[in-house]
Amino acid sequence: MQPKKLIVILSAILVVLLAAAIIITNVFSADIQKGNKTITVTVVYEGEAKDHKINTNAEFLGQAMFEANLIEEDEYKSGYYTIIDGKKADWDKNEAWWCVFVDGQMADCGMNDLPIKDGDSFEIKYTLG
Amino acid sequence: MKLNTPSVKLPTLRETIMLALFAAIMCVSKEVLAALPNIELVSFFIILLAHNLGAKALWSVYIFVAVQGALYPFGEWFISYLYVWALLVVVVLLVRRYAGTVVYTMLSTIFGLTFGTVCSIPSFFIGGFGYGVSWIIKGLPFDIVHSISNGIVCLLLFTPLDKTLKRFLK
Repeated sequence: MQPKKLIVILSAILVVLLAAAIIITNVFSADIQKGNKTITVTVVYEGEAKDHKINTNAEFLGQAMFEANLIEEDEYKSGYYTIIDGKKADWDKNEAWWCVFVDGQMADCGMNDLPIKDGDSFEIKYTLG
Repeated sequence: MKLNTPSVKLPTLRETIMLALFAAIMCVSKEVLAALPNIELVSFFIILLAHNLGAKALWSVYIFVAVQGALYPFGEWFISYLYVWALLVVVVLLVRRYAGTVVYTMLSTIFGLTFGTVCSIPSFFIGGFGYGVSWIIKGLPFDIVHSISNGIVCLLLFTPLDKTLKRFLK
């Protein structure tokens, strides 16, 4: 194959892939809302529910909760949460974990990737098994 | 397009030195650039080696992968590492007869752009289709950065380092 032909083919592939990547990134970031917003996070632990109203500029739930001191810094950095509002869910001890709900439905991604909008409500429930 | 048959000969002494040296350079460059997410020189060095040494570049690739496996905890990433860098070597072997700086710059850019998608293959088996797709989508902004940095590195460094490597291997 001539180098010129190869360059043309590679250019076409590159343009298509780049366009697809940019379009997909924009479509899936459409949910992100910038600016000041107020959200409600309800932490449910062993039957007791505690509401936290958070006023924030954060774009994702993890960041908003970190700014509100509801989660620890090292867990925020890793994205893996065992301690919410000072309460620990120990998987090794009793298969306990924190389940995040958005409008009553289990979230399909971690808190660090969960976009927030003004007026949103989240429930983080201590769950066994 | 004629497939370049991988060499079955063992590397010469000079080639062995180069392969070991580049394996070390790849490991060190990864650590040095760790603070800059998705900017790496590993792909460039693999392209350079595969262009000059053919399939023997796989020696450096798997030394690099073994060192990474020793340094970092096992995870999905290790499974991807077992094939993604080797795939780059195979692609270079297919085009190296016709390729120069421009072709490798484009290849390197495409590799960066598709890196996340190619690495996500184990995710489909581990977490299912939805998990794999969300893995790809979340990684796309990083892949764009990766592709741009790969392209710039290759465009600037391929010609001078290729000349230097050829001189040493003569």
